[in-house]
Amino acid sequence: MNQLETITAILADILDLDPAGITPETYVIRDLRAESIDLLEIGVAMQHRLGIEVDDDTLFLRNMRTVLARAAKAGTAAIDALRGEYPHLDDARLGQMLADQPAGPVLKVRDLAAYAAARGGEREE
Amino acid sequence: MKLSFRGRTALILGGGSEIGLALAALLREEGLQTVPTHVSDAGLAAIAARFPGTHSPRLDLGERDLGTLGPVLDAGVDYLVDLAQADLEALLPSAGEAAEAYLEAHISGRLRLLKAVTRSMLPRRFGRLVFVSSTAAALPAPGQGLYGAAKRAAEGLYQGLGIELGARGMTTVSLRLGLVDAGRGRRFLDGAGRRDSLGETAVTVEQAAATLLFLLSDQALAMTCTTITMDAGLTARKYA
Repeated sequence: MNQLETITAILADILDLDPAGITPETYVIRDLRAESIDLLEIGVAMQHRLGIEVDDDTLFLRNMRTVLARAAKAGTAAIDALRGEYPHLDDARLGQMLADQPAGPVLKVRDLAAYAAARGGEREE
Repeated sequence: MKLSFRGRTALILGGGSEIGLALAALLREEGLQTVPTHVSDAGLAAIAARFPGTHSPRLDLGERDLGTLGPVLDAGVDYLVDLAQADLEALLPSAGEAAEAYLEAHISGRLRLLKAVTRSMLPRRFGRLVFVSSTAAALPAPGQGLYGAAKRAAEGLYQGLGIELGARGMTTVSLRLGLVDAGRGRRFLDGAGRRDSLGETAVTVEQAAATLLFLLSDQALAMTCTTITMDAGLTARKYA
């Protein structure tokens, strides 16, 4: 099982969903309705099953609005601020997030996978 | 009534204290595995003398590194009994750096520890956490402001955890003990003839340990997100 498959299995298990309905483009909060207690469990499960250290704030993009507000106040480009906060995401994805952000929480399954990939970790066999 | 325990492993912070040792003995009689922590050489020696060969991780709430407690948490614990508390008597207006470090350790440090413990419990969706508090949380004497504030803050952390994680099988309770006839309490009782006037309100180590055992049992799990008092009536009346 690769990292994305493991993450999909974790989401399906914790949120009691059919894994077939979860794709990399699925929004974790907007589509799957994950609440903060669910995110806590997802983070812990990723830590255990993928063997990676997890920082919940970074993994779940918790401080995004604060980072953007601080950047706006300081006159810093939003994408530069996000790049520093979320180094596991590439510029293309950060740009998408900035455009998408007014519509609600932007976190997608692929972002969890990007975090896991950046952290290395072991594949769950 | 026979008590039952759905978990297997109990982590006892401050396991070298008299209450910690007595509780560990009771838990072992019930067939549970106990992991007592220590902060001092004296605590480690007390644990080694009572339970030879027992692994005792060192835990200092003021240090960020969990040290050898890390692997214990990785393996998973079911119960936490928190007896970790240093004493620092000082008048609040004269509190200095030591007071700030004390609060950092006993509040922020305790939160760091509780975060690690509850995250280790989460995958199994069960955890019982018992904090040993003090009547000084409600009624501190002059000089006990730091101690009482740290206890009260810790009670708040435990209550909050019980509220937030109850849906994931975790429950919390704080037990406010009054004058315990052990350690600091015994030194107080033995001073200035206090045992004559206050002796009847002393709680024995055996009573405290047995109550903690009950609070850990399946039968007590509905006692959650709350604080209860066990002080032999010490704080119930207006004047001693």
